[in-house]
Amino acid sequence: MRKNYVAAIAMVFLIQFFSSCNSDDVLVTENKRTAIFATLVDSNDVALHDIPVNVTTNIAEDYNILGASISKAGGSVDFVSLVSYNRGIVVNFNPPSSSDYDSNFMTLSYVDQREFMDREERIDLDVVKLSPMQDVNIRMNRLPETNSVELQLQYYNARQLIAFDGYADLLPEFQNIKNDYLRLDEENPSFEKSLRLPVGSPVKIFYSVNDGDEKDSTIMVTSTTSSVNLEF
Amino acid sequence: MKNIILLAFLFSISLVNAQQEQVPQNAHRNSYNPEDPETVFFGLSFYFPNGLSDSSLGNDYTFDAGIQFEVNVFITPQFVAGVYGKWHEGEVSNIEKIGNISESNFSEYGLSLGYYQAINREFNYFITASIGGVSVRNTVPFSPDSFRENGTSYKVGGELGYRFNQTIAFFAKVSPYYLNLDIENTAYNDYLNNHFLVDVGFGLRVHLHNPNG
Repeated sequence: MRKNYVAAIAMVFLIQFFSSCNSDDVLVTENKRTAIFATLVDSNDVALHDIPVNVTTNIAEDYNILGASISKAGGSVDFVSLVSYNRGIVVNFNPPSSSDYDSNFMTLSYVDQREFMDREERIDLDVVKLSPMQDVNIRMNRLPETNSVELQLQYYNARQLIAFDGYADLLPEFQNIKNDYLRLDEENPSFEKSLRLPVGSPVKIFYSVNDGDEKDSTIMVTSTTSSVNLEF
Repeated sequence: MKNIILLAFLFSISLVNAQQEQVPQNAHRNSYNPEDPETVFFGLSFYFPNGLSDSSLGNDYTFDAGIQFEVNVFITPQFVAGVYGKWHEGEVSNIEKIGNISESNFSEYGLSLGYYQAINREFNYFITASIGGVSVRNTVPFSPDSFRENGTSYKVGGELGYRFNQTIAFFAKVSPYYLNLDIENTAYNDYLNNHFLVDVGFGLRVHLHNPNG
């Protein structure tokens, strides 16, 4: 009977031990902080103040906030963050999850997905540029003489990811770009889509008319681009 | 007349002798009862921590009241050696310069040397110098595992006590201290690690004695 009790207690301890080993909890590095420095400007080099900035653990973990601040006068960003040794680090400028999010500007995230204990004490990002966002209405029509058009619409996301220096290969590039595939024919002679795009970003259209060779065209989004009308 | 003077002189001598028999030769004024020398006193106090410096503990926290327990032993009638433990919590009011910590639990254990002096039978003062190890257990909102950081506290203290009787005393205290934490960050080293604080509080002492010591 006594042996049964001992075995049961040992089993409980073993289960607890192995479950803690496999835990996916964020583990904060003790006795360590990282200071973040940057100057935040728009695409015309005008300083941006009152823009939220935070540090999270991974690209898809917006809720794991290790540190947060707001840009000050002159676009100055200067704050302190915790660091985690079982996660990467992502510095987000104008994150949508923030209550101070400014929808007039894009979101820019600097990403280092490596997991290690001795992370640097200082991250100096120098000048960080946030492009304004522009509402663009894209409309595409099939001409009467065209049977069908295969289209690929490629544009930049409102959130752009940049790898920290030297670790670009760790960052999947496709996450910055979105592709829409569509076909114009008799059933669907037109296509219309409203997008919010970063000023200065390209919109690429790859198209093939009547199953012919693929061609492409690029439109640069400016602060005056409000609609794009294309006919094939 | 001479007989009366002689009688008065003998009476006064006998009275002085009688008094000397009541007060032991080695009794110190610090003893509430001269026959029972002070040996040890226990202190239990509440205190309110306040940050004085331009540092994270001074700017970014609001502190709750804390509790301190101490044991002090008289090594001479005036000098005292002691140990203490103190605990309080602090809520983070601004995470910008410290990271996303929601609250911190501060615990401190240390050694002290003190000087105890009775002003009169009721009032006394007690001056201490202390050194203690500090452990800060930080709570992170999204992580169930708190993390700890450590430091050292260098403290002086002053207490003004009032003895209700031989055993029980009330005291008010002020205790400024320098707290040095060991967080690694070159850019914000002073802000994160070097703190001046003061505890203001009050409490009760229990004095024990060596009867007929």
